[in-house]
Amino acid sequence: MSKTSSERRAQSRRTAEIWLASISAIARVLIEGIKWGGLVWIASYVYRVVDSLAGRKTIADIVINFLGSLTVSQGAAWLLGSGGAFYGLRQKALRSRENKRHGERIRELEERIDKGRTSSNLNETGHTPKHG
Amino acid sequence: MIALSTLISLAGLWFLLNWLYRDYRDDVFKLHLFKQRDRLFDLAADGKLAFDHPAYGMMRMALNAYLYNAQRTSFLWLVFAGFASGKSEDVRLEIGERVERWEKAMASLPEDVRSELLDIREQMNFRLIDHIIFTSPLFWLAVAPVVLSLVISLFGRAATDGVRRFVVRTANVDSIDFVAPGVVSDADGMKVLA
Repeated sequence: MSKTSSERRAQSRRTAEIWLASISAIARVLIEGIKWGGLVWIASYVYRVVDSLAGRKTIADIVINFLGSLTVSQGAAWLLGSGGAFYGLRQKALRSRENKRHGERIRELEERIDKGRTSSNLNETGHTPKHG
Repeated sequence: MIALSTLISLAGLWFLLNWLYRDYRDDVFKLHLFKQRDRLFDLAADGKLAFDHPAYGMMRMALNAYLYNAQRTSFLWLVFAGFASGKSEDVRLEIGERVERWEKAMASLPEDVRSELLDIREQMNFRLIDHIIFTSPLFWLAVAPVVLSLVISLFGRAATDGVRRFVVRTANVDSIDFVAPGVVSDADGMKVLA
């Protein structure tokens, strides 16, 4: 039995949705692969460096040597870098708290005016929920 | 120890780029989208556009979709979406239908509201591209060499000519070329020693 025009259109729409969902999933998998793959790649080199010293030095030796080889200027650079990262993380937490405070108020005010208000479904801090 | 220190720094940079910076750029993108969504809401709250108008609904839905999926939009996704629209007739049809629905909704609006909505949409897309450029190392790997070769081919000649002229002028090459190694002068003039 041949399909009607609306059935064909519904079928085509489903196919398009499958295409779009698939490309989104593939892109996501590739991006995650690159992210974690890069980290694993670096870790594999760290392993090789540590492995080349195996039997000759203990982990404690390596750590002590590593720390001992740091100069004052390197130490200052590490301190500055990690301090900057820590400051950034604190600022991010502060922004999340502010987002939560403002977000709730804006949602409440908008709902008073627009009863059918649609949501982005982000959580209260403005982040995509983990299950999404 | 230098190798270990370099690798730890590299891991730190990788983490910074792929997690911390990425999170920051997602938040920047969302901030701009929220700004556009507020503009859209204000437009309706001012009575210029009904909250149940299809154009309002479509625009708000697009903004909400990007807000929810900010971390999923990437250069790869954009490339694949372009690929899908080129390969699949169904995707092309679907996009065409949605564009048509948008244009139909826009046609019923007064000129000033239409241009305001178009500006909101333009800002949203501009911020999307901005987000993709700033968050995609793949984009830079794919595009940077092309841009670099274009810049070199366009400005390379001019740049090297400029550098050449600068060196000639500052080193006073014009006046020392006649005293180049091997050039001697006598009563008959100048000659190069064999």
